[in-house]
Amino acid sequence: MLANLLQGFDVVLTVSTLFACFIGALMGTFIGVLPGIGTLAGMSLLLPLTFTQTPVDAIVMLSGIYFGTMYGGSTAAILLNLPGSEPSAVVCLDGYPMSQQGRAGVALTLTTLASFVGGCSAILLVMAFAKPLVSVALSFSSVEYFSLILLALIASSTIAASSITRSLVMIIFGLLIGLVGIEVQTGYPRFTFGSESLLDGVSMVVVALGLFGVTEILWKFADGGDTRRSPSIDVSWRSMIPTRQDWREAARPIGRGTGLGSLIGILPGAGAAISSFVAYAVEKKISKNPSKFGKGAVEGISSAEAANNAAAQAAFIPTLALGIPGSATMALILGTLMIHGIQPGPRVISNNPDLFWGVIAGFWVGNVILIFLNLPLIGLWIRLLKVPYTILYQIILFFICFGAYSVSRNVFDVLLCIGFGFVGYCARRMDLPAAPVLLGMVLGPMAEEHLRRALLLGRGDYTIFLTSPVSLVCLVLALGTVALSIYQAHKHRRMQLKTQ
Amino acid sequence: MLARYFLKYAKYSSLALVALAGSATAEGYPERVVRMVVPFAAGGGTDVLGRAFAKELTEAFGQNVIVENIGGAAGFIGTQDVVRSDADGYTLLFAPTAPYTMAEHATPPATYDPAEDLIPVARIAAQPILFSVRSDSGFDTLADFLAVAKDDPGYLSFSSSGAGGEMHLTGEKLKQASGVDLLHVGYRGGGPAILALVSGEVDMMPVVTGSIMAYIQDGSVKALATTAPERLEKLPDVPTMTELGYPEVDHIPSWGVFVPAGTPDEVVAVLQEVSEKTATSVAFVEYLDTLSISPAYLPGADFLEVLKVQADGFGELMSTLDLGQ
Repeated sequence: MLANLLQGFDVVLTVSTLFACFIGALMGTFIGVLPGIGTLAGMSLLLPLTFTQTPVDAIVMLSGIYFGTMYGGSTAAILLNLPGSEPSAVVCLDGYPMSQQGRAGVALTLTTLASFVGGCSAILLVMAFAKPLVSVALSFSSVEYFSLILLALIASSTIAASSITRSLVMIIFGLLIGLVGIEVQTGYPRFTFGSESLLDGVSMVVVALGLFGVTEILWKFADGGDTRRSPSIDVSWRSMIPTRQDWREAARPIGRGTGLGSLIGILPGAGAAISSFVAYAVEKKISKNPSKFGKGAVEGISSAEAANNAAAQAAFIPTLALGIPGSATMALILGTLMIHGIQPGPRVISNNPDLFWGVIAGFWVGNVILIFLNLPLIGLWIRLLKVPYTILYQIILFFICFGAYSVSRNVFDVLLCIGFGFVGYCARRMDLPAAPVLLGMVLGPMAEEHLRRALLLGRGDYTIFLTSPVSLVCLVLALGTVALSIYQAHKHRRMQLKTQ
Repeated sequence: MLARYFLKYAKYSSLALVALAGSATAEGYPERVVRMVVPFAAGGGTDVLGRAFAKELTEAFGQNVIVENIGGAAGFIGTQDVVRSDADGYTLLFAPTAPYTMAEHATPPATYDPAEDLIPVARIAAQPILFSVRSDSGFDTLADFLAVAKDDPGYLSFSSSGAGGEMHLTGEKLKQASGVDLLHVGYRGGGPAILALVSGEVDMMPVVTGSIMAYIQDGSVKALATTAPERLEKLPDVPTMTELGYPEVDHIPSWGVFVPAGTPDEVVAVLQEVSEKTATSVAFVEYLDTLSISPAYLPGADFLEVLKVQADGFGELMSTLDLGQ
């Protein structure tokens, strides 16, 4: 493997590949910072540039954009409460409170380092265990997927700060939004009200920008606070450096996030969306002080960000080893190979070892470039907060509209996004949390799709979920999580009664 | 190996450029950048084909042909965009036949009328469907497969890239022609559907050559039959459906160029001429071959006939299924 890797670095350490890697990382960082201009849009934009490159340069550049957006994605989430993707929505939960406490620099430094550790460690996994991991991914059928997603959904239902009941209400709201669009098994359009714009469902990004970004602005203005004054925020370099306690609190979550992200990331289709939610929920569950989550917990942002980047790297395993893309961005990577006349498939690695190991080495180089690129930029980003709210919010609203529009170039999405902003405002007035909506929206349709397919293939026999060991373990864990929550709530109430 | 393809590709392309420059600019068209809408996401099969074709067109025209991905609603949204664009030859549609043939039969139907709103310029490429099973499935012939299916109706399953798509409908057509019952299982796109075949979640998949050839060459999957009229060069041992006695299962997904209705005849003529030269050029055909896609140039008028027959066939099939009801 070492020889292979050296061969890979031999391929990568040329001027053209390094340049491609740098351009990709740079573009990715900036695209990632702009909320809504997703990874896919950024990659498609630069796709024509890759035609004249060698396949290695092309893939390294595109994956640079991919990772770059992962690094950059948390920036707008932390500073402005603008999540441009599922993972950054999780980062919002604690990143934005940190930013409001004047700790934006610390949050950004920690997420950048968490991204780096998560990304780099997952590359090791990719290299060492590509083959066995692929067979694990292949052994997962809809039965296992359903139980796993159900477990993820139940385990993550506690991510919001408020009560379980309130979270459940919002998860169900999210599930309902997730049902909009064409059903896979029958092709039947659900809840589309005859609108072509709703046939493909509601975009998660549109909802997230509305519920987080628009709501925040409405809240600030409706609150009647002084919106003209620029907040007094320390933007010195020193403010960026995490304290010793921050480091201590972040270290283990980063490790756990990396592990979880790598494991979940190899499953085609599940990947990045689940990993951040699950990593965050796990940290909250095992924390001695879960009440600080949602109010600026370092553990929350560190684990979610590490998991997200690890999953992003791990997603390359099924893509390159099987030639099967787990997501739209991975499909674009394979499409790029096809444009270069390389047929994706199970033999891509053995037929093109230079390409595979070159790309792997390129990932590492990309991550190193990204950390050197991102750390100095933090000082620049946090200066944004010095801009007076009256000006800043107009800019933010512009970017929200632009981001919502760019999802599928449809004005309908912009209106929908603003609509969700009002929904989010009302929900916040009623103390209903927003994050579970996204959770329900992302995981609900996945769970439904796999449930229907599993039952279809099992000819309606529900015992299939119990006869598969992986599925059984997931279901038992899910049941255990529910039982634990009920027990904890019960104990909590008894304690309260006692103190009265 | 790869480098050689590229060198050849580059060489022929520049030759094509020299040969075509005269005739194409004689009409004064195109004078500026041409937009080519691909109604699917970047990186997908249609996008890759469209981009390769756009690259050739760019060289032939001496004007940039820019690919724009407008995905959504199985290609209807992007097609709708083209229908609404100016019919001046500066907006092209590169698409599979489905946005044309399925427009009326989908639920809900498309908001445009393909026969009224679109002019087919040329068919460019095609991919026959292979009825594929896992190599270790124990099925050596289609007859084996259908015999098991007949004994135990609904026991065997097939995957598709989504309900109502060409792969699903071809599976349904097989069911109808052979009188057996197979369980259809839909997936979100071709990738997951292939994964389901390879991992053993389903027993069979009607899948286009380009998507499955790598797995056949790898030995993990084998093809039992093809919908192509003749045996394929790369798979000489795989019989055609006609040979096996099911000539009606003959659907071959294909890709072509369309323009909005009202585009001047001269412009359509230029586009057709350039499309023919590009689609039949040695370089383009060789490129298609590396991806196991068949060259299938057909001029607009003949393409239109094929589209009409396909649309009617789908309409008939859809009415017997209770899709989306």
